[in-house]
Amino acid sequence: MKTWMKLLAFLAAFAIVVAACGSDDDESTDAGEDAETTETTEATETTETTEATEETEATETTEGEAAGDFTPVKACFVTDDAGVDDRSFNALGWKGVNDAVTSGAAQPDPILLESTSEADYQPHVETCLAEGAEHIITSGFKLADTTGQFAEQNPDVQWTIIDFGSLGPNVTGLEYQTDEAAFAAGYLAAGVTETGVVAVYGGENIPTVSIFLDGFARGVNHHNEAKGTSVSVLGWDVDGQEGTMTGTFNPADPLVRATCESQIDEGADIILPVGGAINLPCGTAIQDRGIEGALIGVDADAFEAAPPEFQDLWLTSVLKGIDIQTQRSIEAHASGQPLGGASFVGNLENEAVGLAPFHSWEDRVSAELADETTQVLEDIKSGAITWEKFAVGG
Amino acid sequence: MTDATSVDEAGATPPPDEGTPPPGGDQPDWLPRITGVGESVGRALLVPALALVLALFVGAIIIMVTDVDAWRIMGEDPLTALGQMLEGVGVAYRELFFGAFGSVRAISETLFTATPLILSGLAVAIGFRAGLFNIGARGQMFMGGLFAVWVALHVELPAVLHIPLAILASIIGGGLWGGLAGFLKARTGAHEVITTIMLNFVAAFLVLWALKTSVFQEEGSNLPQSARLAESARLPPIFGSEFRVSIALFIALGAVFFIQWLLFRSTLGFEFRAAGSSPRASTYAGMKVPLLYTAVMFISGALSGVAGATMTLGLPPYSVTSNFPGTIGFDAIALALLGRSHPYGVLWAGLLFGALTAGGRTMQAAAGVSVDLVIVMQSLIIIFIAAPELVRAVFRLKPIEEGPTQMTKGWGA
Amino acid sequence: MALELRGITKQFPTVLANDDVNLTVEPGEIVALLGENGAGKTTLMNVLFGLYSPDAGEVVIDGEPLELGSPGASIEAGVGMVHQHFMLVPVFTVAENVILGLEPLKSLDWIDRSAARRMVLDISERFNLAVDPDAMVEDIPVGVQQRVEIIKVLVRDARYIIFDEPTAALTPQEVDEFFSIVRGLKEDGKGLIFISHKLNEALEVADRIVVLRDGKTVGEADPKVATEGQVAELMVGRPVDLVVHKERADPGDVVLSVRNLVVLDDRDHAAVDGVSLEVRAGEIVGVAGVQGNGQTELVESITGIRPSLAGKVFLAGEDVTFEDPRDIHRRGIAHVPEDRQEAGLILDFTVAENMVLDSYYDRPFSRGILMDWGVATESSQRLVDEYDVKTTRVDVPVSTLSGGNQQKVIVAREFDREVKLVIAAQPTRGVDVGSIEYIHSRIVQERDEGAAVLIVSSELDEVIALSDRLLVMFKGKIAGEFDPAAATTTEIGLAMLGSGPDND
Repeated sequence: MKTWMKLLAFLAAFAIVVAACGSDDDESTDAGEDAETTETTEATETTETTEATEETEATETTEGEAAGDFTPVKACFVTDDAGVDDRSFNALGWKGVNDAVTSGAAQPDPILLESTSEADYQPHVETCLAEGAEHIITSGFKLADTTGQFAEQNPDVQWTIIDFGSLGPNVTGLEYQTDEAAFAAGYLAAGVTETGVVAVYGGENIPTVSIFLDGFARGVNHHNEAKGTSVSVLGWDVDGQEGTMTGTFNPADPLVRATCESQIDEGADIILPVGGAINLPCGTAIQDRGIEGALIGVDADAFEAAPPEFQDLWLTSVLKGIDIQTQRSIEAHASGQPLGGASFVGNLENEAVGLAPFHSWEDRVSAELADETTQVLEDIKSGAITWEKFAVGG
Repeated sequence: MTDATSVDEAGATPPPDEGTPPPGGDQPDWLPRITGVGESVGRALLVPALALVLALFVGAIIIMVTDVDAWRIMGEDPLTALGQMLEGVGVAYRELFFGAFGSVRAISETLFTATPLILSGLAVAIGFRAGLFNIGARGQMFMGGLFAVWVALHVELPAVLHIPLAILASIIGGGLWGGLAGFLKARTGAHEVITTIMLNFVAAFLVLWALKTSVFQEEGSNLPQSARLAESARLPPIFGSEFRVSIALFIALGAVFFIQWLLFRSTLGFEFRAAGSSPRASTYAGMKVPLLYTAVMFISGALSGVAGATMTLGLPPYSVTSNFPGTIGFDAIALALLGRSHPYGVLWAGLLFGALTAGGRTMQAAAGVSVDLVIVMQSLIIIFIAAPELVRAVFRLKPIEEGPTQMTKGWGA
Repeated sequence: MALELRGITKQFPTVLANDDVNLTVEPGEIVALLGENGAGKTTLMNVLFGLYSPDAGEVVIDGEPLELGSPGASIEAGVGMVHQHFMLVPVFTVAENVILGLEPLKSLDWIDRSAARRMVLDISERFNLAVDPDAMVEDIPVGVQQRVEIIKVLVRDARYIIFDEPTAALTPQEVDEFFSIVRGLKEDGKGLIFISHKLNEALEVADRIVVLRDGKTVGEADPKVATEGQVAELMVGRPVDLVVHKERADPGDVVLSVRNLVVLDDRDHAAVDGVSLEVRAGEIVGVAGVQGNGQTELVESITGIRPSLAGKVFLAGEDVTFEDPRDIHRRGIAHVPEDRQEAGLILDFTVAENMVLDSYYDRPFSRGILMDWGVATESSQRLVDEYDVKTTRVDVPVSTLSGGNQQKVIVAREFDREVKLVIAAQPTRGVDVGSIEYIHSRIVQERDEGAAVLIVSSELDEVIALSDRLLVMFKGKIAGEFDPAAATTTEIGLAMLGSGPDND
């Protein structure tokens, strides 16, 4: 009826298009960041030294297998309802799939199926099968039932499930004893804290989250026993196996920041938040309050994986090599190795978990404490330090 | 502004020059406009249909603009690039269509996805009819689902009794949760938008906690996941176990007809609609509006609760995790808007969203178009519905009313 | 030198709102533009003010053609409009409101404020508009707020000023003050258009009366010689009887008895503060008073909508103080609420739905929980015919009816049963002349059939004409009782202001 109305309509459409492009750009930036951080899991027990490789193509990895040895398989990746941008296991698993593409083990353009609800799991797996996928990677324990059921019905297809044990002869389970590295991180944090209070919180009290909290708290206690300190840990009760949970993995939820702030209010200066990007609001809170505090990252080296404005905040990160093992699982399949349906349990020993370098906190960790932390890692590996490890899997 | 005032400006059939404020008491005067309460059927259908066309069009533009490969060759060979973009759109929409309707499985998936959407959409729609903005479908789904799962795990009955009992439990669970918000509004005036949002959180944490207790958890597991539900409580699939669509679809259809009957044939529905259009006039007419708020929120919550039951009792592999409502509770609001708060409208809207979601999965796999596009398109449809002038402008429809609405609305008298 | 509208035609989708309308206003002249609701007055003025573009016709101001469809151009050309609903920001001062929207728009810093104060003071002195520039708008009475609106128009150097229903919200005293302001403006050489449907006011203040009907100018009248009856006939298109015809009342038993009633308003003030009154079968008792003196709360309390704090209400000897609206309705009360559109009707509901709004729950309109829309529709059709409601069908939204016909829907619904007591608040507010006549006659008919009738109205003429006995309410109390046949308007008007004989 009026020209300006029409104009408005087109402006609205244009704005939407631009917004869509914008978000697309973000994604490509994310992918770039991911590529830069690919080497992180290599940084295992060597907490002091970084492999100073300034590579962008870091994915020429693993045990000298030449790309030519692979018969590329068609891979299909199904996320759980957190989606692929969770800055956690989904993101790392998808990166592992892409790394496998780079190494030649997987065919180009692997299929990514993002779930937005639990109702998506089954159709997504069915879609993978319908598209002729040879290797289906399902991410997270929530997909376990569906994976088990369809793996049984499709014995010729190879499966990898992240954060869950093997579900059959054709399913590789990827599990991580991350409490080993978290233990060392707790020891380190207890040595660094100025206030004598450190804290942890998680997204949900599920094993893959709580395992970090449990190991960390035990590491702090170990420091107290070994050094006679009395550092207290907020957010996890080792005896009760209960802790502070935000109940959400959505960093935008105000509850996340509030959880972190209440721990700061109680004096915590070193905090380990576990659950995708829920550590970022905590970083903002530390910056806003101007306290001399630090965060400990999880899964990947947060110094490189997280947005650069938080770089000063990472004391270290508890590394969990989901990307590496996902890639290796596909590579094993592509190189024709027998798979046998084993559960791979990553630990310090096999270097699938580890501790990241201190980066910007290097100066604030005494050489003595750094050495002690390295020693703790060694002692866990050798069994000199041991405890009732957190049970992985379901 | 209400239609009434606009008509006044048109000089056609005016209320008095006296100019009483728009009707609706304490309700926002945009609510009827966006929810479509009180408009004719023809008008109710036209705008959503055109909104869908527009959304598909804008979606096509998005697919084209985000076709990175095509942009790379745009410089040298714009024609090929453009062709490639158009082909991308074609493939995406073809997959969208086939994924929604192209096979028995596709149709099953469309219907399966639509089922809880229809139920929760009805829940929000009946709230709109009574002038209440129920944002709490998610929480009510949680509670309904939780109650149903409890019955499924702890009661032993043959399926003919077990399923109805579990559904009844979901009605009670969701109904109480919704009714609580209605009761709070009736007794204390607490706004239902606030209370239902907050109750969503409470319900989510309650379910999270419950799934970690031995009441629901599988023995020996430490995952927040329920044990496998008893076979007798699982909603039987209609087309065999290979396809997910279950008898829940019939429950949803039954609910559509029931709500239609309730709203337009029963005295209670008359009261709901009256309270929704003008709480003040309803009070004057002797209706107990606070009681009606509680009642309508119970019914609304019960519908959401049944939606929660379909996402637990009807979702293979029949073990329940902590996010079984997914985004349905919020999609429900969009559905009620799209369906113009009319039960049949919600039915069609639910089928449309079900088709978009089911088709979107296939599109994601086969055309490599992110599933986000489906969400963007659903959002666009809603935006276009909320701005019907936009749709009318684009399609050069004759406006319902001409000229600016009363620009002289003051607060004076 | 004049403002001329020539051949204005404006077509809306369903209605020809203005059909070749001509109107001229000269400086120093007051023209009253009269017409029923929907006659096209508002449309015409919106064309003049630039809110609508006409399909044909032109506007010429002092010889210059006006650019149509642009409020800015109209203001520039010296046209000002004082809207019926004021466009003031309640939490701003008078001065702030006056400079709001003035070009160039500056931030409200102290220089602007002091300039604004001066501006307000200058104008209020020059035109005798007593206003405190520093008062908060929310704290000043409606009549003074209207002056602020007038000042806003004058600040913009308007030479022709449109007043849209300016007296609708004013008390009788404020109306008098308003008229003196208007005359002052006229003497200053402003050309004024006075839109109204109140005949007496138009006759009192205007130099010339122009009547619109169905979008056309149907005639002019000279206020000095024309009578209300003649003007009303022009407006309605047929002879109208403006006098209420009724026999002497023959009061019977007491039907409604209110004793020492105390009712709180929404802000917990005692709006009704110890009222006692009685209404007998076969008599009409009028309650007059300036609006906001507790009449609304009194009616709401008697009808059960608003709880009372103290006192008793008896209906035919039975205590109904704590009964709810439905129970009271069932006892045979017909209630015509003062707020027709918000309390009396549901505007998006159909005529039929509104006809059963307070009786839907019972036979014959429902059986159990099932509505019988067939019966409801038939019954509505009968009432529409019987009560002369002008509507095409009973299944159209009641909002499509004119104000008078909407009111007839309420009257039909309420009167169509055994009625013991009629309570009608502002029964003819915003109702066209033709419908007023009809509604008044129905009320008298109810009385003659033996009902007790309580009329609450702020239109003094109306209560005087209808009532057999007249009470005046002031500040929550009954401030006087009058025999409407004997008392003078002045006496009653004084009581309405709290200085009546019974009030010290």
